[in-house]
Amino acid sequence: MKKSIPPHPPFWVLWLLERFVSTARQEDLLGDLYELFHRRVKQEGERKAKVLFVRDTFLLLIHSNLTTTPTPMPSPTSDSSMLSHYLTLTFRVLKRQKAFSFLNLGGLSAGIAFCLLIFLFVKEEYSFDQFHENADHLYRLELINTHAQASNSQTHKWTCYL
Amino acid sequence: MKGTYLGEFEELVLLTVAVLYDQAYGVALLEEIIERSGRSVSIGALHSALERLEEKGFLHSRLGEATAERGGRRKRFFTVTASGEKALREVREMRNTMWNAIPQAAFSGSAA
Repeated sequence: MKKSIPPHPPFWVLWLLERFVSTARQEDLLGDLYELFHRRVKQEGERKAKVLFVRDTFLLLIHSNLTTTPTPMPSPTSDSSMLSHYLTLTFRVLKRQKAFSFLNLGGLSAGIAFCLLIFLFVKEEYSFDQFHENADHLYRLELINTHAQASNSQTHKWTCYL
Repeated sequence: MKGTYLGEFEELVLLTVAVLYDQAYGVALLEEIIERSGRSVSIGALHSALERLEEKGFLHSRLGEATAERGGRRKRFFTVTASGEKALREVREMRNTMWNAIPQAAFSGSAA
């Protein structure tokens, strides 16, 4: 006798069931459908059993109290319910990994501090000589005399209008 | 929740659960209902009714054993709760009083 693969319900229908039947009832509902399928294979043949399996699936999925609808992802900006949890978690991790936390936060703090210092320095440099009438036409000329003796080298600076 | 009104098909399902007692799971219930009522009922309609009855508190369910022909999935067995039994009794009581209230002439009138 020829031994072929055992009859099984169509896979696309199984996908539909697993996708749309509510998770709480999925196990016993699919189990019942399988049991009916295998009974019908014995009684009425594989082809008829498959047709009836598809029919039963659709007759099942029209009942809204047995199905699930996919819920949309909650918007992260409008949902602050996780905020306190995240804060707790942050402090726990900081406490547990002290060396890493020190390097990480220390580095970030030093970086931000130096950026601020650089900003203040540049702001001060730009603030000079702004009282002149045409301050935006102001340039600085430097003359460096390299032929003089090293100890005696001078840097001449002029500020003038061009 | 829609209250605890017992629908006609729900009453049939609830009675069948009581009939099958400790063997009341999907496929057995389906075959019992089809055999006794002669209706063609789908497994989905049955489970929908079972779900409603459980929500109303008339049924209690637990998961039982798995068999190979179910693909290793467990059966869900249903039992009638005390309030389910009360609802069934109330329906029968109401029917009986209604039947007793029908005058003799009402049904035999046209025949006689």
